Amino acid sequence: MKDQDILLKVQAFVDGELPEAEQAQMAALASRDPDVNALIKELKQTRQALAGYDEKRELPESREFYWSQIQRRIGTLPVDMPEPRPPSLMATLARWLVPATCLAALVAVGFMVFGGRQASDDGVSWQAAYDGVNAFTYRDYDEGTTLLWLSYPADNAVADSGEAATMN
Amino acid sequence: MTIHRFRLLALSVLFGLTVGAGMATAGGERIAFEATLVWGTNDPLPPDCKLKPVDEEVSRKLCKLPFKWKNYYAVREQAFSVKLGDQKEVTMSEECEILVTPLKDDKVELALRGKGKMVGKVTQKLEVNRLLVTGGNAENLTSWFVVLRRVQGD
Repeated sequence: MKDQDILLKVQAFVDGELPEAEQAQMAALASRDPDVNALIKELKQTRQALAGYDEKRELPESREFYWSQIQRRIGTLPVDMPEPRPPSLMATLARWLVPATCLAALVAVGFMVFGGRQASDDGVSWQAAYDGVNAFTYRDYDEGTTLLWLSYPADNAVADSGEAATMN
Repeated sequence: MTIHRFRLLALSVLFGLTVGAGMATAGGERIAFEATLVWGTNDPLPPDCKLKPVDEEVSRKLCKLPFKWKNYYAVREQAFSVKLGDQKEVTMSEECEILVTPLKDDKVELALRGKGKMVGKVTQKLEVNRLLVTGGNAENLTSWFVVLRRVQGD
């Protein structure tokens, strides 16, 4: 028995698929080796025998039109989709409760952060009796102390002088 | 007849409660305050000076304010009480008077008068033990403060 490579090459030789150089080598081998020659003949006969049974089909329309019709039929086929089920009570609750809880948490955090301060931010209201009285306020929320620092025109000479810086 | 009497009694009680509450409000609880004129300085007191340091709590709160002074001395302390809506004039020094008016919702109006001239007035919510501090520069790089504290009434 010839090895697998030789057999494949013989088949390719019969089908005319070998390059020219190998085609000549295979022809030379067939003339030398009676087994190879017999195999070639057998394959050629088999091919000729089957050639008449290969029915040729012709499409009635163009190839593109034929496949587009198939594609359209596929698209119109009813799709077997599951019926949507009504959401459960828990799902409905969760749908509303989750954002509501998040919102409530945000409001609570906002109240904790700003609410306390807002409550103690009682709005210092200063009303000067005449022009030239400048005031600024300072709140120490921890101690609950409100400071109103006043500067008069008469004080400015002191306040503006060198080391009179009031603040630390 | 019995129902009529009951209605009359209920109306009387309601009227009594309303009038009583009104009188209580009108009579007005007195709101108690302490006002202290404070001198702020970094210098130690001269030996002959009779000023005493402000009380510990006030000192601690003043020291937390962003000022450079380390020593706070009480020049004059005044304790007084005022009815809601009334005004109380308190003399803190020869040149400084304050006018304190308790208002609704724990608010208080504090007006300052210096050398006989009105400087201005500040309105602020002031709960018990909270401080409303007004201040300004004084001579020799020192400072003055009027510390108004609302205290628990009797």
